[in-house]
Order: sequence, then C-alpha cells, then structure tokens
Amino acid sequence: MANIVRAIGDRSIRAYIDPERGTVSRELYVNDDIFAQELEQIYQRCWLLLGHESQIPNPGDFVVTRMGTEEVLMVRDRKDHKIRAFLNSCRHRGMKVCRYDEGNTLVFTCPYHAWTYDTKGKLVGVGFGNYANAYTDTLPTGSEEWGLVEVGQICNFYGSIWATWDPKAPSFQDYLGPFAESLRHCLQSSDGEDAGLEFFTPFQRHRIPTNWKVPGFTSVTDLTHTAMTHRSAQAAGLHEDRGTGKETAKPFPQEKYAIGDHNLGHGGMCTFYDQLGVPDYANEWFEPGVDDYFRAQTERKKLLIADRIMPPHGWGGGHFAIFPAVMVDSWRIRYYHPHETGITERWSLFGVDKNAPDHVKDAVRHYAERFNGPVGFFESDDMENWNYVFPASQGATARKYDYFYRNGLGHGKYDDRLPGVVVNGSYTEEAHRARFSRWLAFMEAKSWDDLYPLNKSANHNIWPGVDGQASAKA
Amino acid sequence: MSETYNIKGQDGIQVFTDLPEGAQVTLTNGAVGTIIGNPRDGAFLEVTYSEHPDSSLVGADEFVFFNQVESAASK
Repeated sequence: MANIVRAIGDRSIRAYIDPERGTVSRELYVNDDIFAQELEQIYQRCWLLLGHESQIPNPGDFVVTRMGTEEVLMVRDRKDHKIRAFLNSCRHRGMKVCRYDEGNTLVFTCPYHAWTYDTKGKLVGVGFGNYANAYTDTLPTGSEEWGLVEVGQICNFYGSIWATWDPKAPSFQDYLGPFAESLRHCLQSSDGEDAGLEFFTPFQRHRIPTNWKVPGFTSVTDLTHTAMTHRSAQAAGLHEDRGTGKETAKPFPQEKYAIGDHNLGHGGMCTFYDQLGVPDYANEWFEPGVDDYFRAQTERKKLLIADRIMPPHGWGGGHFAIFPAVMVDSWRIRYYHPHETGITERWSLFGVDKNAPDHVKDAVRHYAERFNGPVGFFESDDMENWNYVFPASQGATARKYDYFYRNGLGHGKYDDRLPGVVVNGSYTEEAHRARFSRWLAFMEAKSWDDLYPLNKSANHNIWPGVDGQASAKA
Repeated sequence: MSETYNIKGQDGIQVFTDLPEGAQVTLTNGAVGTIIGNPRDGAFLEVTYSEHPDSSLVGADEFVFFNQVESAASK
C-alpha cells in the first residue's frame, strides 16, 4: 500500500489536532488533500459495512453497495452460495460491470467490450475472444489474474456483512474489540435470537452536502445537540415515541455514559446495566397488536438471558459508532459513505424481527419512515445542521478557527466492564475524541502493523487526563 | 419435432437473447452444447458441451459468445 501521509503546507497531520486545548482544525473537514489521504489511509484499511445477508437470500442475488467512494458488488454465488464482494469496475477498461442497484444474475457482463464475470468474480468470457490472434495467447478465459477485484476480507457477523480491502487487517471480531457483544445484541431479534433480523429494502439513501465526518463522527453520541436541534419537533409534539400513551417503564438499574475506545475508535452513548436479565416491556405502539407481540418476545428473551447482564447496546441503551462511520442501535443502522470532501451519501437500514407477523413489520416500517430521513419528522432537523456546517466552515476565514472538542476532557475513566474503553458523562464529547484518536492513528500508520489491535502495545489516545494519565505522544 | 431458432435474421439478437434453457446450440468450431443458463445480455450463453473438438471439454460448462454460435434449436 502506498504511503501518502504527508504534511499539508508547513503542518503535519498531527498538528491539526491540539489535544491539550481540546481542539480540532476545520481543515480536517474541508481540505481536499486530507480527504484524499483519508481514502487511502482509512477506507483502504478499515472494516466497512456492506449490508445484510437478508438483501441477497437467493443464489445469484446481488446488491450494489459502497466502500468509501467506490461501488462494490455484494453477491451470493450461484453454486456455493457464499457471499463475496467485488469492485464494480471491469478489469479491461474500468466500466461498471453492473448498473443496477440490485437483482439476480448469472454473470456480470461489461456493456463496453463484453468482458464477463461469474458470481465468484471469475472472468468467464470476453467479446470476440475466438477470433484469430485475439486474446488467445494473452488472456486465457477464466484467468484468475483478470477476475473482478475482490475485497481483502469479508465477514458475516450475525447477518451483517462487513469487508476490508486490506488482507492484513485484523479479524472483524478483533476490530470490534469489546463492542462485538454490543453489535451482536443489536442484530438479535426482540426475543434474543442471534441474527434474528431482516432489513427493509430498499434502504433509505440520500446525499448530503457535507463532509463525511460531520455526521459520521459527531451525529451519534452527541447528546447535547438535542437541546436545540430537535426543539421544534418536540414543541410540535413529535416525539421519538412510537405511540400515544406510552407506559412508563419500571425501574431497571442502569447507568448512561458517553464512552469511547481511543485505540479502536468505536464508542457512543451507551447504557451499562446493573441487573441481570431484561427490563419489563412497556407499551408504546399506536398500532393494535404490536405491543402484544413485543411483550411476548420480551418474555422469551427474559428466559434466554435471565442469568446474564445485557451488553451495552442500542435503543433504550443509547447507540454507538463503529469506526469509521457506522452508527448502530437495536432497530437501525446508519452509515455514511464519503463521495467528495463536501459530499456524503447516507444509508439507513431499518431492522425488524424476520419472523414477525406482517402487522408488526408494517408498524415498524411506518415508524422508521416517519421518524428518519429527509422527509421524516425528526432527522430532517439533523440534516439542516449537517448541510450548513460544511459551507460555513470552508471559507478562508472560517477554516482558521478550530472546532471545540473539550467538553468533558479530563474527566474520563477506564471501566472494567468494557476493558480499554473510556467512560465519561453522557453529555460529554468522549466518543468524538476517541474517533479522532483512532483517525490520527490511521492517518499516520504505515500499515496495520502500527495499529491496535495488531500492535497490542499501541496507545492511540492523544487526549490528556484519562484516569489522571498523560496522553500518548508522537 | 425440434424448433430452429433464427439467430442470424433481422431479429436475431432478440431471438438469441431469449433462447431458453435446454435448447441445443452448435458452435462455429463444431462443438454442440445444451444451454444451462442465459443471462439475457444478448452476448453470452452458458452451455454444457455434449460434443467438442477437444474431447476433454465434453461435459464441461462454459460461457460462449454470440459470434461462436452457429445455430440453435430446441431438443
């Protein structure tokens, strides 16, 4: 992998973050050169979410997804039924071999010169390949060398599909670290069955004119934004609840924190539970019969984990981010694909118990639609912020003034319940700072050998004051 | 009685695109195969060879380009 870490003008990458002051330069959000380096240093190495296995249940099914700025085909092979992922670019002249969002196919035929690939990515045909002297000695059909570019590693994690371009990256389980159980929990159905979800298709997808880190690093785990951003929705009586007359849940001992793993970059607003089992179900849905379903599911889940404490997880327990830009809670996953320095594509996936009856699936889908996205009543507030942050930060004057990331700095502590994770007050910016620790580590690292967890002695935390300890220095 | 598909006529591209699985094709090199998959891209067919000048390919599956196909007929 090419090492393109370089200074911008007379500043090193590290100089754009001032841990002692708790500030981050706006250049990180508006500078094209830094964006180009992020694509190489972060998006070529990190594990990235491709989608969910429920999108491609049948042999030959495919969806077009993304890894950073690039399109990727996620395909279930016709013969061995394994899921694979390939760059959507013909090896001959670079044309997209697939121009549909999803479908079922025998092969991907490039519309340019008919180079054709099977669902394992193998080149199985070229146009006019049988003519005298054409290709004959230079391109044996089926050549492994000229198949579609396959991802370096792929992982099916309880139904969610993740991939990295880097074959030397750590396993996805190790990449998640202590958040593996939290993600697993969020991918369970409401009765606690592993991989018990399916996701509504097509996903909500929209472009927003902002840098990917604006929503990707700060939208989740930013509890303070609700003070003003969602004030108007609350004034209109448009709450996050799913119905009128929501019951007040019985007390279930728990603690809410902003948490961040500075070595891994993951973290968010999470709830630590102090009691075994599952809270009692409290009615909350408009639609008849839905509460009955979820109450019965909750009773089953109680039996399943009666002797365990739930891992910190999503809805009701906050939500958390998987570095670099995936946001997870127990009913939705949102992720942010960079397109350009100031253009980001946002995808939202809404999960539902795959074995739920139709009236429950309908209710969940309706809730997702009215709550989320540009026409939802709640998230449109967020997008207004994201859309204006970028133009208001990229001017010659604006970019001289750093962003404030000092909220709660110096108050974080390590907690044995999630080893290696810094725990701080829920209205602090601990999770944001953790992402910048990891961001800088990736931007400076020559390879995964420099990065945790392959480098087990690494301390990527750049910020001072955790448990009274000094921060890591270059 | 087998049906012959006119893949060389004015509508030949569409006829080729719609060739059904199970139809038999004869290739320009004399090979004969049965269509086991048609991606309907107008370019390729997936066939299993029942006859082939290279006897090691009899029974093999391969994608063949349209200009390799001399004729097609139902079995």
